[in-house]
Amino acid sequence: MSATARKGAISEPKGIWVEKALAVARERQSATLPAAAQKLAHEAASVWGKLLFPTPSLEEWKYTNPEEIAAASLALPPAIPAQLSEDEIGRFCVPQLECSRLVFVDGHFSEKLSRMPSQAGLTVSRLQSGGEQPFGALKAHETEPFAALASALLSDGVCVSVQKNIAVTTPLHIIHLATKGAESCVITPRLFIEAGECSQVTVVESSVSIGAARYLSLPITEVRAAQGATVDLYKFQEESPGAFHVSNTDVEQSRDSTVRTHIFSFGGQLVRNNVNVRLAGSNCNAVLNGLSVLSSSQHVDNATMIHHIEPSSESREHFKGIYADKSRGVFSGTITVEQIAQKTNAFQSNQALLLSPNASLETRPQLKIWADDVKCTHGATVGQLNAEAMYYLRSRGIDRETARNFLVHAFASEVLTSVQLEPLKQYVEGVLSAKLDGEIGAN
Amino acid sequence: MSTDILEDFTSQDYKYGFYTNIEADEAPPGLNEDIIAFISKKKNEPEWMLQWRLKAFACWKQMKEPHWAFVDYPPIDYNSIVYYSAPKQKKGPASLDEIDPEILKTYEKLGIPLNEQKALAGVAVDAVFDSVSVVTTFKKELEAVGVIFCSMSEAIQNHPELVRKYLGSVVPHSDNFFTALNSAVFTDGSFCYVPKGVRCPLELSTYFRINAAKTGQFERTLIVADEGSHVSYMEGCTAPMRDENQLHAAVVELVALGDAHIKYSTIQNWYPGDKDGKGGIYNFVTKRGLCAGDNAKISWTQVETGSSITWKYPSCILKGDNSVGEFYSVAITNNKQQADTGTKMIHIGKNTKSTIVSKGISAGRSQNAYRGLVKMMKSAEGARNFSQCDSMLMGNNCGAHTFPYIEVKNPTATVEHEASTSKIGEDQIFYCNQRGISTEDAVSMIVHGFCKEVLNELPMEFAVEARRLLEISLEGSVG
Repeated sequence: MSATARKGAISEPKGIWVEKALAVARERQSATLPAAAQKLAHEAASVWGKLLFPTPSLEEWKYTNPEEIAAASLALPPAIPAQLSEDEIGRFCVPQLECSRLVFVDGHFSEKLSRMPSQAGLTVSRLQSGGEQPFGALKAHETEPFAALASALLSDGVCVSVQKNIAVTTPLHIIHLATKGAESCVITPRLFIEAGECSQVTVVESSVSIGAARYLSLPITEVRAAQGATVDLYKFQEESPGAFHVSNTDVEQSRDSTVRTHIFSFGGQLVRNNVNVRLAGSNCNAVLNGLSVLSSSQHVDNATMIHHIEPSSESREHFKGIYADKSRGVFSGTITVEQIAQKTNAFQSNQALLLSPNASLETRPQLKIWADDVKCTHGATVGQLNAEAMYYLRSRGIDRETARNFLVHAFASEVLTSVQLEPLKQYVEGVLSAKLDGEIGAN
Repeated sequence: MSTDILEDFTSQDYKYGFYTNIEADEAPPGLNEDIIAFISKKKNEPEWMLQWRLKAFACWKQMKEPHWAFVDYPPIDYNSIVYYSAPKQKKGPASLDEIDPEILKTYEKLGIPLNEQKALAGVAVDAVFDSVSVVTTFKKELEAVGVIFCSMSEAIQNHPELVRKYLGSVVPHSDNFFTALNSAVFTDGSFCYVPKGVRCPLELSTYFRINAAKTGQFERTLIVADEGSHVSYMEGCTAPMRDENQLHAAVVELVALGDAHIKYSTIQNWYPGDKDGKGGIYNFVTKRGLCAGDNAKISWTQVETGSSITWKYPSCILKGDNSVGEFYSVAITNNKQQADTGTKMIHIGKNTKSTIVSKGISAGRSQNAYRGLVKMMKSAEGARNFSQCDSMLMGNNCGAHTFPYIEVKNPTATVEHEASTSKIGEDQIFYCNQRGISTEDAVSMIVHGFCKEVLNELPMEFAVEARRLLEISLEGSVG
């Protein structure tokens, strides 16, 4: 990939801000980060030097052009973060969800706003606090340009480590908040979930903003599930309409493990979610669901790869999108089944609902299969609201907007039903309703 | 389940691999302006045609060979290919009697009813041997209803106004690397024009044969169906067995005006190379149809069993309102064959409709990929597409891949895509065995059932051949 990437890279002077940001990052890193993390940042910086910003001439970036990011002129956030009150953070918490909480403001950890978990067998440590840390173990930074950039600009991170046979009782909510201080800045949230043998953990990761209008968020999440572990990861993104968001989520599963990943995209101007799931053991179970609800000229690109490496695993992938105004949705989903991965069951579906005449969608559901005894299917549908269903509701005295909201909720419910945390499900439905009433209301 | 049966089933030899020793008139290998002028002069072409070729060549020189397809092959040396090879003859043949009996024998071996005696078959044939059209049968019958069916070189001489108007109108010479190459050096092909309101009384057919060594075949087919007309066209291909790879880069253009209907069926059986992947044809073809008027319909049906590498995407541009595009395909790969095939449906007009049914079967160590694009433009109000891509794997050394692209710019458009991958179930075979059906017959039944939707679309004459071909291609493939 790197060879082709070089060919398609944007040359200077666009993206010149990166050079400056990298220099500042290096200085800060030498003061705050442990040696291993500095080494990671250094390696990633040299990878970035080869890859640079991708262009649509690359197949992986055919439908998403990060040119705007390259041209944006961004910097690192100020070294001293803004101070927020408990009330200000309250609106980003999920009501009725009993959870421990980690808050990062403009990329800086806020001890005051966080409520650290205290359960035997669960360790939550920060990158800056040192010790042996697995960050970068899943190697996204070696091939993916934005993962390389995020790793090179590394500032802090959270490692959630669960010991063997421990079920974490309360979910962990990690909030990445961008305030006014992050305006025109690049933040690099980082999370590593290390789930030990037969352990169980649920993590909710929110990317939200308050005050910052235009900034770049480059989160990297790594999940390593040992034999028999169960991990639920919910990624919730509702950033300002001018924000850029390029996330990388890498999951590696050992045998008999289950990882359920949900990706909710509501905000941002240009959003790209790279998700890479490696089923490196037999009898793994992977669920990868996504819901995007877009309006105005938002652009969300979900690029997912599910790699079946060993036999007898199952993956279920379901992405849905609701597109209003001039928004644009992109989905690229690849399922690869290696020759020895017999008895694989892989299901993928991508469904899109276009609510406006100017919304558009590009979808690429791809299968690469080298094993013969497998069941693999994929399906993609694109359409508008069913006119008959609409008529049915209208003829029963339900006004147009309510009827439409009914149908949109019904469309989204397939993804939402798989959310195991009831309060989170309610919360996401609430965000969906608010978006339907507010920004999408006029359609 | 016995792998031996599978082995036997997939390992039958290529039976069209003979070589006919006839004197050929060849250009020296290589590609430059002189060769193009040589070809043009040989064919006694008018000046505008030569200029058109040179323009395409200039364009080709600027282009790079594309490598995005899911296939793997050593670099092609475009300068070692013979771009013109024709059976030597003193004058153009006026009737079948004047044709070299060796050539006729070749076609007889291929089972093509060139002889008028076989008129009962009811198929008008244009046979292309290496680079030039050898004979066209049933000309008179077709002329009676006003249908023009002849070789491309004749068409350039006799119907230059039609050729000038439509040649390159659907596939411009600058479309891609191989179309530019084809436009520069194409030697012959078939031309068909069906006038307004005429329903072509015969099935039209072209048989392509690559005979000479180290030659490339670059034919060009152009079919124009004027308003309200109807034509069904079939195409078949074979080549001798050779150790080196030969390049076949054809261009097919279809133009369907208002209410016209074109049905284009292909049985592609170029030499696929031997068991170890040595030799065989590189089949890099651009096929595209334009539904220019309202209510037009273009239907592609293909059975792809040959070629060592296939790289082909018969497409429809649905420009007229209510126009219809169809694509039915069976692609079978065996041994070390590689196929990257599929279709593009570009919806421009209102209420346009397209259907894609693609069946891929891979056996041996082959790779079989479906690649398709469904594009709904902003103007495609109420357009519909349904796509289904099924793959079947026989044995565990092969691969089946699906790369659909869906782009929707109009919310009233409906797009549905489904794909599945499976193998022949042991339970299915067991069920058949229980009822006294041998494993081999059972496999054949299941494969036919798998491909039925596509085979049913073929014209009668082809359906029989296709079924036989399926069996030959897959002999010995039960896993």
